[in-house]
Amino acid sequence: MQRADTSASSNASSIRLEGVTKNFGPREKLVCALDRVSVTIEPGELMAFVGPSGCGKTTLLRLIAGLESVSAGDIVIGQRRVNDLAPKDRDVAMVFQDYALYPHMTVFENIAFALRNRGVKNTALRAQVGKAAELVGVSALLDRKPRELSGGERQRVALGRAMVRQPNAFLLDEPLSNLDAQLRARLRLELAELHRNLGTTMLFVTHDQVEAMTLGDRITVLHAGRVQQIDTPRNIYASPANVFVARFIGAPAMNLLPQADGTLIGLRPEQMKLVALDDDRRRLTVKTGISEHLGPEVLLHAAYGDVPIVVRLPAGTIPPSPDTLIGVHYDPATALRFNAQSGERSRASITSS
Amino acid sequence: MSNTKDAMTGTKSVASVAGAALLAAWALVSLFPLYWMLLTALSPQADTTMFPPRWLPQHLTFENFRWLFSHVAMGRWFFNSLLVASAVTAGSLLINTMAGYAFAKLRFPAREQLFWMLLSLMMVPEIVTLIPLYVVVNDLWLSDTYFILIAPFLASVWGIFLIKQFLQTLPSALLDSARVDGAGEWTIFYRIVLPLAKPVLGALAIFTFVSQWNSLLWWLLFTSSTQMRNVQVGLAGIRFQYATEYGPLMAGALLAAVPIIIVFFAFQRFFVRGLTIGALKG
Repeated sequence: MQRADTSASSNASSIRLEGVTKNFGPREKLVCALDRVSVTIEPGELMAFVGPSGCGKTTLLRLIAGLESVSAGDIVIGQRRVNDLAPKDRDVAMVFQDYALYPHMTVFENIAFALRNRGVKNTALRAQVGKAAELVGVSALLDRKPRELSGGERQRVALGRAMVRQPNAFLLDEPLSNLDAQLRARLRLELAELHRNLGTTMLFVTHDQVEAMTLGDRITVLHAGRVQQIDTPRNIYASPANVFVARFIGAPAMNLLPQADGTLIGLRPEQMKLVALDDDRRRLTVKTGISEHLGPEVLLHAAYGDVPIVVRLPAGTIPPSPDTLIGVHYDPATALRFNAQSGERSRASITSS
Repeated sequence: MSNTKDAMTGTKSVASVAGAALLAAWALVSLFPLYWMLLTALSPQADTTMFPPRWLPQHLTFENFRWLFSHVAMGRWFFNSLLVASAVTAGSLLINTMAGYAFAKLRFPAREQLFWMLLSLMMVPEIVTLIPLYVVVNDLWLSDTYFILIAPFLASVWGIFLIKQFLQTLPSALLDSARVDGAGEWTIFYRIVLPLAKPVLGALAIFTFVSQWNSLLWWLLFTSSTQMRNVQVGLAGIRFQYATEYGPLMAGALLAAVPIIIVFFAFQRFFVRGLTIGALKG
C-alpha cells in the first residue's frame, strides 16, 4: 500500500450517538436491537464495535449510515444531527460484509460509482479513481469484473470504493470475516496502515475480539443491544467492567472462580502459576485435565471444584499429567472481583482468601 | 476385460442408435405439419385439394400471399399485431419491473398484503371476468380502440411475480451500498437493478411478445371492424368466410409464425433461462 501524499484528516468527523435505541417489528412483538446506546467517536479515531452475533453492532452501523432510522435518540456526525438525513447526505462510506461490489461493473466503475453520483467527470474522475486504486493496490485490476477477483482483491476494491470520495467517516461491517486466516491477518495490518495514512474516523464492527483488540484505538463492547464497556484495548483487557466483557475479551477467556461470599474472582490464564500442594504461596487447589501445546505457550485445562479453568504456562513447561491435584498461586492485588448476581465488577480490593 | 468393454460399448451404441432413430421419428412427426403448411401455402389451389395428396410440390406460386393482401387486409392485421405486441412488451417490461422491484426490495406499508392480493387475482380464470369486462368496455366506448388492446396488459401479476422472484435473489447490500454511495432511488433502479435483471427481462419480453402475438379471444371480443383485427383473428375469419381457401389460410399462418420464430431463435438463450429462473432460488 502507498502512503497518501495528502493528509485527509481535515475531513475526519466525530460521530456522537446519544441514547440511540432501535426497535424492530410490529408493536406487539418489539425486538429491541439497540437499547440507549451512547458513545462518542473522536475525529480520526478507529473505534471497534465488538460483540457476539445478534448484539446489534451491524444495526448500529446501518443506523449511522442512514439505512435504518432510529427509534429514539440522536446521531450527530460532526456538528450535524443526521437522524432525518438520507444516506447520500450523510457523507459516510460503508464497506459491507460481502463487499457488495456491483457485479456488472468493472473495478473502475465500481470505484467511480460514488463520484459519478456527485457529477465528477472525465479527467477528475479518472485521477481520483486512479489514486484510490493505487492506495489499496488494485491499479492493475481496473478492467476486471468482481467475479474475476479473489476474496482479498474484492476486499481491497471495496475499501477503494469507500475511500475514493474522502468521506467524513468509514463504516466497516465485518470487513475481514470472509477471508481465510492468513489473508485476514495481512489485511488487518493493511487496514491499520490505511487508517494511519488517511487519518479518517473509522468504525469497525466485528465479532472477533482479536480483530477488535489489534485494530481498535478504543473498543466498544456490545451485548444484547447494550453498551457493556468503552475503553482502550489494554484497559478492557486489564479491567473489564463486568463478567460478560471479562469472558468475551481475551482468549482463552478469563477464569471466574465462585467464592463463598457470593462473588467471583476473575483471573486471566496468565495470572495463575502452578505451585506444589504444600507450597506456602498456594491459594487454590485444582485438578488438572488435558493440556494444549501451542508453541509459544502451553494451555493447561483444569477444574476448580466443577468450574473449568485454563492456566497459561510458558513454552517448554512440562504440564502435570491429567487428574492430579496441584496448587495454584496468584497475586491477589491484580485479581478482579465481580458480583455474582449482577455480574458487575466490584471496586473493593481483594483480601486474601 | 476388453471383451466386456467392447460388448458394453456395443450395447451403448445400439442404444444410442435406437435413441437417435426415435428422436428422428419424433422430429419428423413434429415437422410434418409445418412442412404441409409450407407446401399448401406455396401451391396453387388445384394442387392442394388433389386426392390422393401429393407429398412433393408440383408447381410453386406466391398467388396465395398475393390473395391475402388483395382480398383481406393482411397488411393492416400484421401491423396491428406488431404494434400492440411491441407496445405491450415495452410497457409491461417497465411497469412490471418497477412493481416487482418494489415488492422485492422496497419497504412500504402493507407490502405483503398487497402482494398476496395481487397473487390471489391469478386464481381467477380470465374467462370468468370476460363478460363483465365486455359490458364495461362497451359502456366506456373503448371497444375497437388500440387503448383497450394495449392498456389492460401493461401490468401483469405473472410478470410482477416473475420479476419479484428474480430480484429477491439480488443481495440487498448492493442497493444499500449504492444508497450510501450517494445514489438516489432512480439511479439505483436504472444503474443497478435494471442491468442485473437483464436475464429475467429478456424472458419476460419473449413471453409477453409471444402471448400478445397469439392473442385471439381478447381481440375477437373487443374489436369489431375489419381494420382493427390482428393476424390471428383475421385468419380465423378467413376460415369462416372462405372455408375452402386452404392456400391463403396456410400462407397467413406461415406469415403469422415468422415473427415468433425470429423472436424465439434470437432470444433462445433468454427463453431457456427464463424457464429456470423460478427453479433456481426462492
